[in-house]
Amino acid sequence: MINMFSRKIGKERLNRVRSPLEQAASQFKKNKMAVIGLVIIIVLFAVAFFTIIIDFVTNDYIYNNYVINQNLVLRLAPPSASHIFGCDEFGRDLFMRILWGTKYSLFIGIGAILLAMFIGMPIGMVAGYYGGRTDNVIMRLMDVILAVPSMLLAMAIIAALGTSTVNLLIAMSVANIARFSRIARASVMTVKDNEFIEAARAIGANDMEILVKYIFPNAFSPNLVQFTLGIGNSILLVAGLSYLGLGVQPPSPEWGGNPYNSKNIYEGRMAYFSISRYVSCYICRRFQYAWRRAEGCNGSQAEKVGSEFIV
Amino acid sequence: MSNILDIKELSVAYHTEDGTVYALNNIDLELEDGETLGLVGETGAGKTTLAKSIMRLLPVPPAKIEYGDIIFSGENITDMDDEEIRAIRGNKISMIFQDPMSALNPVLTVGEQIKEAILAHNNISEDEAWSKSLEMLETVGITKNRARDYPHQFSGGMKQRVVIAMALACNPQILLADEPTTALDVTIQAQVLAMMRGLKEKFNTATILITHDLGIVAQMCEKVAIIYAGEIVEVGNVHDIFKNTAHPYTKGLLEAIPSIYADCKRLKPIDGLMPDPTIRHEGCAFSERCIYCDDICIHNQPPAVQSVGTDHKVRCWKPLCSTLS
Repeated sequence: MINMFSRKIGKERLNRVRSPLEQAASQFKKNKMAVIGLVIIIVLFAVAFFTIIIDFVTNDYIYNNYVINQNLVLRLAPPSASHIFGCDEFGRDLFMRILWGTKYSLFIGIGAILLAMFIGMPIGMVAGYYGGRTDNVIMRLMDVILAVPSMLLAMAIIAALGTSTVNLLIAMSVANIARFSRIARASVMTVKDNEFIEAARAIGANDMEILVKYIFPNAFSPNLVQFTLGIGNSILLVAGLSYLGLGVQPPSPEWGGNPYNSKNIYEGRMAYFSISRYVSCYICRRFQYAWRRAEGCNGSQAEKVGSEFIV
Repeated sequence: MSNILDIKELSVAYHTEDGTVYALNNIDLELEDGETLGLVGETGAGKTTLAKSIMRLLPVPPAKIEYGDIIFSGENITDMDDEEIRAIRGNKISMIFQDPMSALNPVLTVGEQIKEAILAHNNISEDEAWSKSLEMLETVGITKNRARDYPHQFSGGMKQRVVIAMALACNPQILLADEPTTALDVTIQAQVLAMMRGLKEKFNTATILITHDLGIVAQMCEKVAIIYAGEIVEVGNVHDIFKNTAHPYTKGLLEAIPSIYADCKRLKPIDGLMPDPTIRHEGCAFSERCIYCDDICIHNQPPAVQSVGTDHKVRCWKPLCSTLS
C-alpha cells in the first residue's frame, strides 16, 4: 500500500513538465554568487526607482533641498550620524548625492548599451548573413569606429553635438555599435551554415524570416554576454565623461561628477566615490559570471569571461 | 501520365579557387505524376547537387547551372527569379534532409516549425495554421500533445517524422527525399519508410528518393536512375534495373550487396575510385574501373542514353543486355 502510494507520487512528479522559466529559476538558485549578484542589482535598481518616485511625489523637494542645495555651514563636514559620508565642498550630503546619482549611471549605462545593441546587432547580422561585398563594406565602416578608442570617440561626438544627457547617450552607443556588430556577424556566420537554415529556405522562407526567426534566436547569446559586459563598461564610461565635465552636467549628482567637483580638495576621501563605482562594476561582473554559469559553463570558463572585464 | 518534372541536359559546375568541379554533366531525367524515382549513386556522384538544383538551393557562387533546363509543370525553374522560386519551394516541391538532427531549428517548437511552413504559402490565420500543423503531426504518427515540445526532446526517428510533416504540410507535387533514412537505425528506418509509403499513397506525391541503399530502392521505387560521376548511366523501371542490368556499374553495385543465400566470405567491391570531378574525361567516366573496358571506352564518350528496352536506357558502349533491344 505504502509502496503503491510512493510510486504514484513519483509518477506525478515525472509527468509534471517544468516550464523553461522554472528550469532557469532553479538553475539560478543553485548558484549562490548569482543570487548575491541579483540581490545587489535589485537593490541598485530599487534605489534608482525610489529616488525617481520620491522626486515625483515630493515635486523635487528633497532633490532641491538635500541633493543640490548648497549649505556652506556644512562645507567639507566629516562623516557623522546625520551625514554618514560627510559633505562636499558646497556642503551637500554625499550619501544623498550617491543615492541620487545611481539612476544616472544605471540608466544611461544600460540605455546606451541597449541602443548600441539594437543598432549594432542588425547591422552585424546583415553583414554576416549576406557576406561578400555587403559584409566588406559594413565591416570596414565598423573598423573605422573601432579604430578610435571608445572614450575618445564619445568625447569627440559630445564635443560636436554639445553636452546633454541625450547626446551622452548617443555618443556612448555609437562607441559601442561596432562591438555588437562584430559579435553578431561572427555568431550569424556560425549559425547560417546549419542545415536547418537550408531547410527553412526549402520551405520557402525569405531572407527576412530566416534572419529573424531562425538565425537571430540561435545567434543571440554571445550578444547577451557582450551586453552584460558592456553595461559595466558603459557605467565607467559615463562616470569618466562626467568626471571630464562632458557627461551629466552639474549640479546633477552623477557618480563621476562627484569626484570631479571635489578632486582638488578631497585627496583622502576619493575612496568613497570610487568605492560606489567599484561596487556596482563588481556586481555587473558577478552578474555576468552568474549568467555564464546559468548558461552551462563551468566555473573557470565563466570566470575567464568575467575577467575580460577590467574593473 | 504526364511528366511533372523534366530535366534536360542539366550541367552544374562548382567554380572554386582550386579549379572547376563538374558536378553534373548532361543529366536527362523525367518524373511522372505520382511516381517514385530512386536516385542511386555513391558519395560524391552528384545526387544531392541534383536535388538542390531542382530546389535552386545550390550556393551561388560557387555553384552555377552551366546549361540545361529543369521544367516543372511547364515552367523552367532555371529561369525563375527569387520570388517565383520561393513560391514553389515547400509549396509545390519540398525536400526532406538527410540529417533530422540538424534540419530542425532548435529554438522553435516542432508545431511552430510546421506552422511556419504552412504560413509561408497559405494565406490563413495563425490559429488555422496551428490546427493544420497538429493535423500534420498526427498524420506522421506523433500525438498532438507533443506539438509544443522542442526538437531536442525528440528521438532521431521522431525528428525525421517532423521533417517529413514539414515537407508535406503544403501538399507538394514533388518530394525530394535526400537520404531520408541514412541517419536512422534500421528498425526506425523501416518505420519511416513504411510511413513514407503510406503518405505517398495518401497524397499521391511524386517522389525522388535519393539513396545508396538498393534495398530501399527495391522496396520503395517504381523507377530507378543510377548516377555516376555526375552522369546518369542507367535509368529504367525497378524490375529492369535489377533483372536486366545493362550498365557494368549497376552490375557492380548489385554484386556488392551481400546475399544471405549465397555462401560468400567476402564482399565483391568495385575496384578503384570515382574519377576526379575537376578533370573532364575524354571517354566513359566509368572506364577506369570497368572490367569490360575497351579502347573505344577510354577515348570516346559513350553514346547519349540509348534504349535497351522499353523505358530502359543506358549510357554505355557495351551494355550488358543489348540483345534485348
